[in-house]
Amino acid sequence: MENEFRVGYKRIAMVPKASIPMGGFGNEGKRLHQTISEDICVICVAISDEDDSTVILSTVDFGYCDERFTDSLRDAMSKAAGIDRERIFVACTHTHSSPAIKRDDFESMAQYRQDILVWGAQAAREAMEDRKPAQMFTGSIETHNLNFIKHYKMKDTTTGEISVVGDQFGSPNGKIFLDHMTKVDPTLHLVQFTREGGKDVVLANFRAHPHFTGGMTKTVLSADFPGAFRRALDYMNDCHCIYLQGACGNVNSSTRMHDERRFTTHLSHGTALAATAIECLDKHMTQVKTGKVKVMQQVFYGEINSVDPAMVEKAREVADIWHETLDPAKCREVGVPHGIRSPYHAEAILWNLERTKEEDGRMLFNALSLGDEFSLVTYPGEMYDSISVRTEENSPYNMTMMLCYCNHHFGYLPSAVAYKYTSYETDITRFAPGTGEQVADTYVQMLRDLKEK
Amino acid sequence: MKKLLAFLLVAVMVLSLWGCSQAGTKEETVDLDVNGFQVGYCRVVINPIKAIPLSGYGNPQSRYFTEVGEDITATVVAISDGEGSHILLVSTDISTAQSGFMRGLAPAISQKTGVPEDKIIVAGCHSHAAPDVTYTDEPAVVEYNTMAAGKIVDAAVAALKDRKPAQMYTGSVETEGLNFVRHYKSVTDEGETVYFGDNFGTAIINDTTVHTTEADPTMHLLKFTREGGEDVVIVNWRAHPHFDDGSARTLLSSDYIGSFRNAFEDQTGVNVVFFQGAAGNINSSSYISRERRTVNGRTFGTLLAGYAIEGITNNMTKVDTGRIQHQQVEYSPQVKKVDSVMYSQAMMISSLYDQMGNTQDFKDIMATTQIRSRYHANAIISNAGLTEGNAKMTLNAVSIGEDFAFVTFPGEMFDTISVNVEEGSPYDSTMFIGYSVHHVGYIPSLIAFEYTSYETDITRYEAGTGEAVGEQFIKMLTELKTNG
Repeated sequence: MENEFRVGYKRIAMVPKASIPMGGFGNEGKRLHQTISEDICVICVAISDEDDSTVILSTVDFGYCDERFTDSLRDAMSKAAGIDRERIFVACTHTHSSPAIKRDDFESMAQYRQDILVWGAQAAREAMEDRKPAQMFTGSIETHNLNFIKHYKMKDTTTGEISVVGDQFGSPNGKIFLDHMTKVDPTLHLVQFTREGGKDVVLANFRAHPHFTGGMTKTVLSADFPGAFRRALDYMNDCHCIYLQGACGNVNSSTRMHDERRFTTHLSHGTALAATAIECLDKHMTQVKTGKVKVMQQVFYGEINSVDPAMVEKAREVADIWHETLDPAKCREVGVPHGIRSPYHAEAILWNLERTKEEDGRMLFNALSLGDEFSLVTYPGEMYDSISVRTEENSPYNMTMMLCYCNHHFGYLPSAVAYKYTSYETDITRFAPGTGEQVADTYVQMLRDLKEK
Repeated sequence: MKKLLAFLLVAVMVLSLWGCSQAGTKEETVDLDVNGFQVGYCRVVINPIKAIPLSGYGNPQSRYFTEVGEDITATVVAISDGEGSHILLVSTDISTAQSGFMRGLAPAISQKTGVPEDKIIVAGCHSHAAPDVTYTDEPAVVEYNTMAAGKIVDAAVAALKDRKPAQMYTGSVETEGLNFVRHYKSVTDEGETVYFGDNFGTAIINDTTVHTTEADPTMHLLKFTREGGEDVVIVNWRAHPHFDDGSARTLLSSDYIGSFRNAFEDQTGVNVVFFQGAAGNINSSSYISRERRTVNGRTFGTLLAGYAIEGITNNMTKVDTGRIQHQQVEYSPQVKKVDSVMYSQAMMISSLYDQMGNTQDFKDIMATTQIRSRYHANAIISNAGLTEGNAKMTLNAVSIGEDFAFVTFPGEMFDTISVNVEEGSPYDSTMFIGYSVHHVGYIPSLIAFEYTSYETDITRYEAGTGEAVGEQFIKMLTELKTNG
């Protein structure tokens, strides 16, 4: 068939040879892993068009990853696969039971980082070698109660006051739940490549925090529900799957509301998500024309949040208490009278103080299209879902996936509406209100340019 | 009498052919005695090799399987209490325990293992795309039955040999939107209330459409953790497995149950065995499209596995093991009285159907009678020969320790009866296993007789039988508990 793609896939489990420091929940490196409940993997999908224009979509089961290490990994992959680094996108699945990649001051992590480069290079090379002629299908399905906005509108039963609380701070005690702050987008996007002489390759794009197996005191290394999802889908559908984490900055995979909760383990959640994907693959896929593989990059400057100088000294005090005691109550006792709501807020104030000195808000965005109907954009951080929806709805492509935690990490990117109430995410973001919507509009323009290219 | 003779013939055939297959080999013996509470497990795939008919939809010889979807299997769980009592639970992906093949398994296993025949519970999963093992005038079916019986007997031996010291946990989880009562009522534009079901009547779907009753969505779980062996989980839930079937389809499959097992075991590494519950009036999808979550067996089974994983991870409570106690009753229910006028009409309709098929002319003639369908006609004819004596039901109640029990029923029970038993049971956790030991067809609940349905048309028992059977089970369980 004319204009067909060639698609290859490789997954490699990245099993540490020694106990490594764990990340997630803000205490990077304060605990070492003891067990693995769901394999941490690197996955590469290589996609080429008839002109041999190639991209590699890669995921690693980390919480996030900074530019320095991601670039090392992309360089290793680039060398092994023989394609430019700019055509390799490495995204984290955002598991909260992740290796603390940045803690290379630990000997075991320094070694693990070297191993990751070897595994990543191997995955890229073997994905290229595995490329087979492929037809492309796209489809979407609505999931059912598998993701939730993690901010809640609550009413105080005695005062009648309405406030917003989130999963990471505040307490719903004495308050009744009114609604989630906004409605979540429950869509699961799928791309299926049926390959001659090989298993189908499936790209799955959904948004929800993988935090079932994590916890501040837990020592289980795990790919969380994305890992369980991949295994269940691969096994039940006899395919190769890659999970692409979407805009889940404000989206959790479970909720505090008991009557809404369906699954509370990574295995059951991942299995249920896989069931939904199987339904979509069987019933809702449409073949789309293949065509050119096109990529585009653009620099974007986000406005950095200003820091109130009056809060800096108190923030230092709270941050010191946090590092000494890890006691959030004590931090709040000292910080709240001065407007510092949590230890994370204190740390963010200090981080942002440094950032305003060192950073200019520069981010590198990528847009990718496969033929005329499908596109994907990458964001280097934790985006709120409404920004992703704004991008997808205004994209000139029939389907647009938002791939977050990709190539670098700039933290949370809240929507404008989120700044109207305080939250963990708006406390610690480095960006000013409105940046998220500007990002979405930038993506849409990139996609329009790509379409016309 | 004809059916009894057919059963005996098949049972003897299964036993003798299985014996033949073992001729010349040394007879294996199983040492039944073990120290303490022990559990063993074995599963075998029993896919047919040659084309044989498929069961389901009342006309099996009309379709022979051409491809295999989910494997047809049999799974044996052997439970011994260390005090000389044993139970073998045999779950098969055969539709029901109606056939001579299924009823011949317990004697064959007993002969090989020494476990008393009444302690061997053989159940069907009620797949509607299962091998039809009843057509023993076909050599391929006889060949299949012999092969499958041999494998299942071997699996029973293997399960007994696999027994390991075990701890026991019980629990449950509520599924959501996965099973439905398949009888509906709607109010028409004229204000009339109409009833219809998946198997009868004309669907009138509008905003007023509701189920006649609500299905119990509970999945019961029993988990054994074993020293030196993989865990074993018994799952008891209720819903017709009818995704992979259809009167025109030729796919052989264990339906969503096979998908459920695959997904569950692949995700957890734990062995699982599924026992179909009281699914007489319960389907796994709904006519009401707004309620439907899936129309696909693999999706359904995978999603069901998600719930089971949730249950075994979060909702299990350790319970003391203890003695296995068992009570079996041959229960004589009140059979349906057959009216002579209706009998004559049924004979005529049955004969006309053979001549005319399901044509409009046939339907027009049938509309002038009290007969609602050819199934109705055939049931009236069949029920005419029934007496309390030849319509007995074998009911089992088994308890393990002080907290867990299960009952087995030989047919398609409506779910409210099962709920009655579970709620009235003196045990903390009680499973209701349907389609086991033999097969007496549908047992509707009393409320279902307030309107007509396929199931009330063809049941061989009077209204109220289901509730009476439920009371009998509670009595048996109460006696087990009291004696224990």
